[in-house]
Amino acid sequence: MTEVLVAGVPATLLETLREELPDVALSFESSGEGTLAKLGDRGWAAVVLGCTLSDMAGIAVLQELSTRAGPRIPIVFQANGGGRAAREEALRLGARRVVQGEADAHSLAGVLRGVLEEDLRRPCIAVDVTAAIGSLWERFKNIAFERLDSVEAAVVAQLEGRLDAEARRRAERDAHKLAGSVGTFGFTEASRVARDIELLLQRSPTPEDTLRLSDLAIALRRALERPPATGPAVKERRSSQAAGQPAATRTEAVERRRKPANGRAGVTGGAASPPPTEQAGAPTPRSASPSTAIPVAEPAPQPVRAAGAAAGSRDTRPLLLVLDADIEPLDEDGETGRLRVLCAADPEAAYIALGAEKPDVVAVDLRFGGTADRGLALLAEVNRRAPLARTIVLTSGATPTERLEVARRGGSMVVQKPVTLRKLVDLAARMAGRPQGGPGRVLVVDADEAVLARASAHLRAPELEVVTLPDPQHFWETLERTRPDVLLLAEEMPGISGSELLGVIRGDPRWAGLPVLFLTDGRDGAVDHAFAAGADDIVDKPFAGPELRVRVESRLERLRLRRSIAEVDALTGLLNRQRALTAIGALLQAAERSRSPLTIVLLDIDGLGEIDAMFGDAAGDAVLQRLAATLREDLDVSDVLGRWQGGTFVLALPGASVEDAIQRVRQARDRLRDGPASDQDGRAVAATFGAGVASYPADGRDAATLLHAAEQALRAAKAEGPAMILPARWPDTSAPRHTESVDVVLVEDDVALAGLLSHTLLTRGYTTRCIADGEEAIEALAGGTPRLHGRVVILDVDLPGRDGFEVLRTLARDGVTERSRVVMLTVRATEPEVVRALELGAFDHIGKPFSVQILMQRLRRALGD
Amino acid sequence: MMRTILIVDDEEDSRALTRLSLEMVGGWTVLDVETGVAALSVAESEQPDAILMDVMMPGLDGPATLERLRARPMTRHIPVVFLTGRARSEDRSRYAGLGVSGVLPKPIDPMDLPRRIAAALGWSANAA
Repeated sequence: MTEVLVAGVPATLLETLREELPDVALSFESSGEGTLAKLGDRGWAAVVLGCTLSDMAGIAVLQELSTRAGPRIPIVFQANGGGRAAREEALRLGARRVVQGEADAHSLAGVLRGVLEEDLRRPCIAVDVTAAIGSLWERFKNIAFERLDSVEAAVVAQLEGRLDAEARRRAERDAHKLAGSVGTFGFTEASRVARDIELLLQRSPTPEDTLRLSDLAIALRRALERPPATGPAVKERRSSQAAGQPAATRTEAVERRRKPANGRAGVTGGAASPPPTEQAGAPTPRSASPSTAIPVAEPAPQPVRAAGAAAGSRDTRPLLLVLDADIEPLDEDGETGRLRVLCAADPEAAYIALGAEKPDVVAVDLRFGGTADRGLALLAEVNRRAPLARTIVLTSGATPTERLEVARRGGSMVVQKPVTLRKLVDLAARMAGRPQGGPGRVLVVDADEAVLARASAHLRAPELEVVTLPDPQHFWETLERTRPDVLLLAEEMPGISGSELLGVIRGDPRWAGLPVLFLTDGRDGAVDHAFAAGADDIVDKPFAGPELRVRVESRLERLRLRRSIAEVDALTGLLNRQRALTAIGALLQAAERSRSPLTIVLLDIDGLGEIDAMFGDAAGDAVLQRLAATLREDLDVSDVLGRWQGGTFVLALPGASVEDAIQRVRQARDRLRDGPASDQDGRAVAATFGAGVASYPADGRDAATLLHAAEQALRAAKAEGPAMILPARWPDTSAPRHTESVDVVLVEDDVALAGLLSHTLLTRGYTTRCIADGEEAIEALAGGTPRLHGRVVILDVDLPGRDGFEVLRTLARDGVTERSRVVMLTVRATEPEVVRALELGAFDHIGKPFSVQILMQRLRRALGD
Repeated sequence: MMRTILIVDDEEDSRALTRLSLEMVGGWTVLDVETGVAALSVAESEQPDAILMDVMMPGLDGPATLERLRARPMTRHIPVVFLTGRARSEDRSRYAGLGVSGVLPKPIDPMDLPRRIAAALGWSANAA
């Protein structure tokens, strides 16, 4: 029976109401306090708020109710005089109807009945409206996510201390709009967080604000990616799940042999969520948003477009492209989770997919298309089209020669067939690195096994891998092997303390950025100690499980934020130096394979220092941004453009000759010079740049040499005056030869090892030259004016030509060991051999096999870094 | 008589939601425009019963648009309700000085917005 609370009305009125409304259960309450209390505990259909409450005015009760959360109970309010103003005030505070105090029981009953009937109709409206709101959210959520991106970018900029007032105001506006719109869609938490961010951005944030902002930004994304806890969107979600098959649990089966009619031969998509049917249409949702609301009309798997540009626009998961005719598709409910997966069953489909997609990982069957030659050709094509992708080569018993070929063509890994798609997805997920919001790995180091057990029990989750280590003696291997995203480290351990370990971690550039949480027993000074050693956070033992989890997750989220911007130069939006180097390395491999030229240009703004000094840093920044924009204008898809350092940019143009490159750079220079850039006062700042051009293979065969050549050419160009563009070896090589100086000269005849090492060195910013022969090493490094100087020479012993000991003796004789530090890297590691090497003048000795990490540490020591 | 209400909001999503709420829950006829300038001409030609206007808009913002509506003989009588995410009390009194009929907070509750507009305008609570 419908229950109505009637408060503060005369007893006679109540009697009449009971007579008029026999089908309604009326409960009486005399006080305002009592009314407020009763309204909390039962599902009242309506409330009559009369004007004879014993303790407070009816309007005060309304006021209090208007601040409460939860569903609004329809209120019939009896105004005690006060005219139109009182009536309006009551309506403003949420009263459904206002009747005058002198209204008789009969008309009050009529109003109440009207309200109750109206409310019976309302649920129908509510369902329609929530459904309509659900579909509106589908249409507009990308706007919300764009605003979120903007807010996040600003927060990241603020974390890095480069958020200017203009960008702050933009972000404030976006936060404001987010707060307004997402709340309406039912994301009340996100709305509240966005409002907090907006408030913080209204003024220049203090350091505390900055930290708070970063936490809020994380909370905001979380709140938006989670389906709203209350409100219309969630209702919509439920109803559609009841109606049809939930989209998220259905995987598009990977139909490899099917030839679709739409010309996309054999290319099919396999993605858990969102389903490709959505991908092809409107931009789709982050995984957890209420997108699952859309019922999928046709549950059967269907051939889909090779998820082209439209699909890519929102689905930011890394893409695994499988080029193999034998791979069995995932079964119906197979999850590809963190990855998008595309399969191509024949070479034609493979080429189409390579043209349309930018895969992060490509798995290629070596016998794809019949023979190993065809497979290798395809691999070369993969490297040409997607130079930044990692490649997995699938083979059933490749010959050693084929394996070598695979390595030379850029294959990152060889996997024995047969292999399941599931396994490939796992491998690829690991290779593609941790994508946005993807799983993380935590390493917990504590000698107390009970602590380890508790920590892993609380932390372990589908998206969080927990590795525990009870013995700190194995710390380094474990760190190297597990590559955690977050490290939990106990302070008190036998043999070595957590802060000692942390000191070493922070000294290693590879791990310097690793978030470290300290587990301490809260002894005096432990906290200071841990922070001094570089801990990011402290957790007291015994810890509360949920708290530990929140702290770890917060670190992971921060890391994700930071990673998303780490690859891009903040000012210009171009690749940063590291990324540019990696990309150039890949382009070089491709150039080598395809025997085509690759030209590298270093460009440097003329007089950037003067521009900064005369017009201010902002003007200088504007010039840099303009140069970036100008260079981007005629950039080809495969070209690489990065910020090298300061006012210097690097441009790598595959397929371009020196002449082509000079022509293009000249045009860019003229466009830059002719377009106006202005300083703060609106005065135009003219800008030009000088450039040095070096080309593969004429000026060098590896990235270090080429960049060095381009740098020399740039220096020569700058010496000539502004706006000069010069090729390498200018004026020609007849000039007296200079000693080329690099960080590391690698004398090593094992091609694979040399490749690995020079890649490792190059990606850490060290210039490297490789020599594979003892004789050649002596020719290059020794003698009166050597051709090559290395700060460090890494020297193998077993070399063709002359052996390493002979090379070392000659280098010592010519005084090279005084200018260069020689590090022996050899299997010859018996004590007499080590002693002999050191006596001959070697600086250090590393036995093979070695770990790259140890080598890098010893090398840094040798370099005196 | 069927009420007609004009929505002025530069944000497409917000506009769509407000329209949905006013049409489906309020049962009103809805017109919408993106800018204050467009609002001036549509208000003049269509003579809506009320205008629901976002405060923060590029170009002519809510208050500036309201001032111009009040300055024109053809639109000075049309009641205006503001929607704003940031309604401080000093803003409220400034808006009141401009002759606004009500200031409603964002985010809106689509189920409740028509009732609140009606209350602000003194329309019958029976909405439609």
